[in-house]
Amino acid sequence: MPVDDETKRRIDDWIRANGRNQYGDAPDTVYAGGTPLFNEMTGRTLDRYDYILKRHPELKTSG
Amino acid sequence: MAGALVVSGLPLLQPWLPAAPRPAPAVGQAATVPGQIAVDAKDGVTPAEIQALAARCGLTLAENSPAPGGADLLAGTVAPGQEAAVLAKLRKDPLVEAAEPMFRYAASGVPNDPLYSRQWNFRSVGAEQAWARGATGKGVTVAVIDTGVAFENDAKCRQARDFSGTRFTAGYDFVDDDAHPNDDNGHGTHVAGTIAETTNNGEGAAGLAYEATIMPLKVLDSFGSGTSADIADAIRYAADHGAQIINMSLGSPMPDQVTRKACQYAAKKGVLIVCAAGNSQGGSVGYPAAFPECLAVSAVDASGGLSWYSSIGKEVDLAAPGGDTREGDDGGILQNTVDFDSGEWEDGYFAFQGTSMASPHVAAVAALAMSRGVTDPAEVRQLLLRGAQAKKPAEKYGAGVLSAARTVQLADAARRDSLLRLLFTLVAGVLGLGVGAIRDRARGLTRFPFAPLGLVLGLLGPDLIFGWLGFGTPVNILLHSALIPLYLLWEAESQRVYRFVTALAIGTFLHLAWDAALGHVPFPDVIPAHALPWLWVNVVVALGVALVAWRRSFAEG
Repeated sequence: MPVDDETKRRIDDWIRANGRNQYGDAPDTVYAGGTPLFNEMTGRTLDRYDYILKRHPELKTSG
Repeated sequence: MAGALVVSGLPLLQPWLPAAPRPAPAVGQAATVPGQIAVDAKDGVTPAEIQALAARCGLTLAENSPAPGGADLLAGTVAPGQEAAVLAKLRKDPLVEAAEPMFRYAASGVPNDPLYSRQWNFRSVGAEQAWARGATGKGVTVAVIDTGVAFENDAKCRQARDFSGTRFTAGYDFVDDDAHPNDDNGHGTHVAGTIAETTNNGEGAAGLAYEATIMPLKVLDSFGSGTSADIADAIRYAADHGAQIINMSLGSPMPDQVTRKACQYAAKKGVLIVCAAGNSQGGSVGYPAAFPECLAVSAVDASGGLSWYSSIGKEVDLAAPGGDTREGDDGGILQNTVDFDSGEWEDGYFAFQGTSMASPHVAAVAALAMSRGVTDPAEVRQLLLRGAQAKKPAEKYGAGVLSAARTVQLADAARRDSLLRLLFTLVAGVLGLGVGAIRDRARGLTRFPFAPLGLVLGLLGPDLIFGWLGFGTPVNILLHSALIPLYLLWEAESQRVYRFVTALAIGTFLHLAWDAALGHVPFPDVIPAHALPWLWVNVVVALGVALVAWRRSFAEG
């Protein structure tokens, strides 16, 4: 299910407020292949917001 | 005096001597197939007799080929490790004419690894031509900074099945802070496989620089992520423990100074750093790939076009096979690795795709070039870029698509050129001394051989000095110019000095003309677009200085 605009805004606000990188991780995080959104083993891609919500499901709801 | 010059020049031969003659490359030779035996039964043996023979000797036997002609060749299968015992029984059996281990043969220059036929990526970079020149990566250590490598058998991990013949050196696990950088993800093992998977062992797939030594450094966890601090530590560890090449198939979108400084440290220590450009699907090159100290590698698929997921940008230095599995695994990069997705350890051959797969191709070819005797990392970098198959636009492919064949060919030419130049210099110096000594004796003179010395300095000096300072340093621009002879001509006041300047200018002219003709430019990072024109202009200036100095050496008399 695509992430709605309100949730995206909430996620982006949370990223800014907590000094996270664009993937919602600590700013010094490094990834195999350079991004967690592309799986080199399977070839699958992941939406950035879906990736963040998987790791931070609390961001799905406001509050 | 002539003898002294020759003897003093002998130590200079050492770094330029060609590598000791190598035996023919291992690829193409036969290797036994584990668990398989070839049995030549006596003529006319019946199926019932074959069954009884198999039961007596403890193996299963089947006709090797249904081809007509009555051949009684049987292919036997035994439990691995039992080959010797079963062979001993077969050889004593009256129904058997001959029994031998099963050998797998391959065409000369082609590995006998059964999955090699699926490794289109190695053929596309001309691996076989590179191997045919004796380039195997032997003696070169490549640090794989990644999720670890399944390289050892211990309480927690097992060595991946096709790494039993791969050379490893001590590494470190910066995630768990121990000396066992084993792989709990699979990414790092796959990367290491492209570089040095055991090759020509009749099993699995091949590695591109199969005799290189791998230094496994684990900085990414089982999820494939890590910290910049661990990466910086690993880079410094690699530089301090003898790695000549670092491969980093990792990155992040943001630069950080900790990693940058570590890359600068390693580069100063003479390490060549190769990085994946990133998989941002046409977005910008990530870090550390985008740092100037690193070679950034984008990815191409089997058609040679940019892979859809690859990052692009002005930082891309060259492209290499990264694969594309959207149409199936045959489009991917196939290597041995381990997989934990099912929740259990699985050791098999997997086709991955990504700039992570492209980067180790470049690291491996760098190892091939270094194993041919070109050890300066800046020179190896230049060979990689010069050897690439040109392809535009540069923001996608950099200098072009990696070619192992051409890079190794250029490496061999560079070593041969250095040796020829040295020999020419020594001969010219000795001849000059000889002619000068004879002429002086005829005139009853004894004087220092300035002119032959000038000739030797002009021919050999620039390469000797940049050999100390490094291949890409800015001082090389001055050394590879006619500025020094020009200045000396300006300052000269005596016949002796004019003779020296004449000889120096002639040596400089010959050296620069040689470099320009071969396209050998030892300062690419400083003025890459103008290096060759600079050389040619200075060839002409050096010749002019030689002519003017020569005329003045007579006019002053």
